[in-house]
Amino acid sequence: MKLSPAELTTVAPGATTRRRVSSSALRTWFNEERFFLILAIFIGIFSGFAVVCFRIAIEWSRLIFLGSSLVPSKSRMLLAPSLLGLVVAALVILVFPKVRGSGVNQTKSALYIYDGYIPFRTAIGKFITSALAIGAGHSLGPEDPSLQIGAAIASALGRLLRVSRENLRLIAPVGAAAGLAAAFNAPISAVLFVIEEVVGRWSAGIFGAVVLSAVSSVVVSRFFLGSQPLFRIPPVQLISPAEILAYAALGIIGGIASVVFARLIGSLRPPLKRLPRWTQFLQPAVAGLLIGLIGYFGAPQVLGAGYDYIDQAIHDQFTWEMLGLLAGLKILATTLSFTSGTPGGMFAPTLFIGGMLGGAVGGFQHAFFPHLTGSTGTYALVGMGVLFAGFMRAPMTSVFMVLEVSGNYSIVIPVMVANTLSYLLARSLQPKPIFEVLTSQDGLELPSMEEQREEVLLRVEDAMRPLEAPVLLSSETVESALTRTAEVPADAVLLVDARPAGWSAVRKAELEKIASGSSSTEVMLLLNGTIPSLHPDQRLETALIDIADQPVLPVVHRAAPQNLVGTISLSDILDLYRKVGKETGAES
Amino acid sequence: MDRNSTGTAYESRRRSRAVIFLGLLLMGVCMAVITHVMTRVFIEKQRRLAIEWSHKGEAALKNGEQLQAVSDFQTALVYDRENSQYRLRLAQALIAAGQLNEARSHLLHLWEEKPGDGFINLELARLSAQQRDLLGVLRFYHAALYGVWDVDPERQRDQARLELIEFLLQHNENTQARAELIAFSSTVPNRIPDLLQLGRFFFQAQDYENALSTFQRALRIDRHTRELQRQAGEAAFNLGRFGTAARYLHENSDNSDPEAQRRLETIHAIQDLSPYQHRLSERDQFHRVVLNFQLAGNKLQECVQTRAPQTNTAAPAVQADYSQWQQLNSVLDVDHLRADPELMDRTMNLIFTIMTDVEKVCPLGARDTALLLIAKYREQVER
Repeated sequence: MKLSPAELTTVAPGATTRRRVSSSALRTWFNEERFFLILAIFIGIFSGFAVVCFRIAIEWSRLIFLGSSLVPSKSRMLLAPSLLGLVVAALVILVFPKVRGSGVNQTKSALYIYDGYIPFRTAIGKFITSALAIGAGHSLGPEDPSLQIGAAIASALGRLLRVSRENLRLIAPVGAAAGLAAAFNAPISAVLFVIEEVVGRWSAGIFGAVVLSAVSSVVVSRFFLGSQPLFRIPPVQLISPAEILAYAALGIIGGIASVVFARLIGSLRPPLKRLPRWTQFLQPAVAGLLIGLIGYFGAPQVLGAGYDYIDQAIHDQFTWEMLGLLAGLKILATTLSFTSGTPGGMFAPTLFIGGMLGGAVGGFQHAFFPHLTGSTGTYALVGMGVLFAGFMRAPMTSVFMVLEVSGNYSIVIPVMVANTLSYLLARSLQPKPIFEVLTSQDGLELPSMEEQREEVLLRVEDAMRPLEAPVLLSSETVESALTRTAEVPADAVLLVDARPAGWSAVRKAELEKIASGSSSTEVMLLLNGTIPSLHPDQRLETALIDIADQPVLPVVHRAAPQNLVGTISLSDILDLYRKVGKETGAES
Repeated sequence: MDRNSTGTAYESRRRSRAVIFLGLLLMGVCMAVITHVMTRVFIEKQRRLAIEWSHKGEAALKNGEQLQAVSDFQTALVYDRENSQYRLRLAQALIAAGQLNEARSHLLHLWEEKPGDGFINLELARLSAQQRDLLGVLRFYHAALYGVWDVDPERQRDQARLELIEFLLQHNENTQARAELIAFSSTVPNRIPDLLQLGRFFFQAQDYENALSTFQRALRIDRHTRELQRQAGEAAFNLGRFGTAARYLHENSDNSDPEAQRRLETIHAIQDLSPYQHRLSERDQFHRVVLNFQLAGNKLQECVQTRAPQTNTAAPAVQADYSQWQQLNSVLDVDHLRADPELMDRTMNLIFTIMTDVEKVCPLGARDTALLLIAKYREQVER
């Protein structure tokens, strides 16, 4: 039936309601949280595309500058990293100044300082300069740049879609996880690393988005580049339980190597940064030339990311002496590349150094204690995790990373033992992790993830005090209440068991005031609603929020809510914070 | 801001987001196409490089440049990591270059992917043989025998079994070798060269029964083959079937074969000396026992006088044998043999002990060997 103009201009009684319902439904369904999760998938997909192209760009760059042979010609080894170093330096200084460094700290800076802002230009610059540098033979890896590229894409998408300010801050780690997952082809490790090292805490809101983006990017990456693992792992061999001792030795050696590596970078970087600006155009070239010389004189394996040589080490291709030498030379080469300001990451070199070191330790032990040790390939695999735990200071990520790249769970016990020892030893010898060292050198103050992880959590039980006054019943009379609380000071606040409603409180002074008029009045009539109760294991922050204006709150047992275990007041909470503050101040 | 304007702003933002999402979808499609093209070109380039380097590796292997071949195949694998053929060729190049541990690592890798592949198991078996890993040899050769072969499986399996048998025989694993030979014998064709080889293997594994029956099987095809006759004669001789041995060795008799001549002499001596020969009277039987005993004693004396003092380990045994011989010699004669039914066995036991100990110290002639064999086989000596 056709409506007349008058009818058209008249709003039908239900129309406004219908429009309000549909908007409300849309708003409910498409709320910010859900929108953020959908956006995470897009971030993962776009980051996946970008990282696939990035990996291909690195390989093309390598083919062009170093040739197709596994061992480049001597002339290429000398010329490629040095000449391309000049080009990269010019690009970094003149065009893309924000692409220096690995990318991890830059992503953390976006999260904690710049409200999630990473210029998209950074992604482009990182893509170009890292592909050139790594492809030309600089001893750096593609994972950290992939992390930053993913973070930059996420930041750009978030700004484009006008995500809320809070979510915009969190969006960089979402992209970071996507970039890292695609680069590593290892979604679990990527998620763990970002949570462990970039975000520093677990929360449902960020976790879901990080997982979705990592999974999406890996799906894209595997669609184009296949799902084969980063390394071809031979059968893992564990000879006997006593072999754990051998892996423990690897953990200790790896911890020491991690500290050496970190200190070398930490000590060489500041003086190079202090040199005149014009030298920064030459530093990557000089670093490239030195790395080329290392290759020229017999160790071409240190050029580039080095994954192919890790594969060879896992397959017993080198003697243990050669493996040890390669580990040392790679530490030197990576230090030169990284401290010269060449864009690129430290993940791949860390795995290389760990793999070589593990192979060296395994080969040595196999030579002298053959009955105790299995194949050196297994040691190379564990060694990668050892360096990751000691140098990157990401112990959980290091364990899962080894499991994920090997696809073999039988290696888990040696990995856990070796990685833990490496981590603890590295921590004791070098309390500040490498990323914090770099941050301090850059003049930034970012939160320490390690400190955050080990922060002592204050709980209600730390501040509460035992029950000092009897608990009143809501059904008892004021007279009875006063009799029972005769010993209690006059200004005390008394807790009242007002079940089934809950707990409540009343001042003794108020009881006395009522008693003078009608002592048979029930306490229940004096109550002003219920008060929240707490549990001993709850965090003190929760108590601080719940206590609001209440003079005191009950602390009850979780298994028996009627069982009162103590009370807590605002002054109790503040006293504890002061005490902890003084102790922390005294320690530092 | 009132409710309506908040709702309007929200609607506006929602619509712009929807538009942007659509735009992102389109951009995603474009990026997918670009990435797809880049990836295809790149993968094709890698594939060509892999082929190029594998050809270089094959050429280097043909020219005997093993180390260069290793490097070339490693490069080929960089560009095509999933290619098991390249990995196999790399392993073979590594074996040729003497880098056995590295080769093993790659072969085990391949084995993980295809544990039932006959060829991979065979390569691992050969590698284990080079590394003297007996358990590995058995495991991988058996796996090769029951594995999957793409080309000519029967021949490949026979070849694998032969290699295993040769390895076991070289390392004196005769029990294992015999079991393999029995399995192998069912597949050996009725051709003289194959049967001769099989028989030799049985002989080497000290399975003289099967060796003899194999040679006889071959002789049924051609009974005039001298080598077969000789081998059959040897096998029968080792079984104590001297009559059969004599028949084969006679047929093969040739003055140019000293070993066969020696065997025949021994057999004739057995026939002349054995108290267990058919149709011997009791008296003749006992005479022969006494004669054997005397001959054994003479040999013993001769050995003691000429060689025994020089060999410290054998001297006490030989000396002890001599005193026992002297003791028994004082009572041994035909009458005592007739009177004491167990004396013959005791005498033959002592003869066996004497000749066994003498054999360790002094060379035995045909007659001495005959004494030893008579005492060893007794009634089992085939007449």
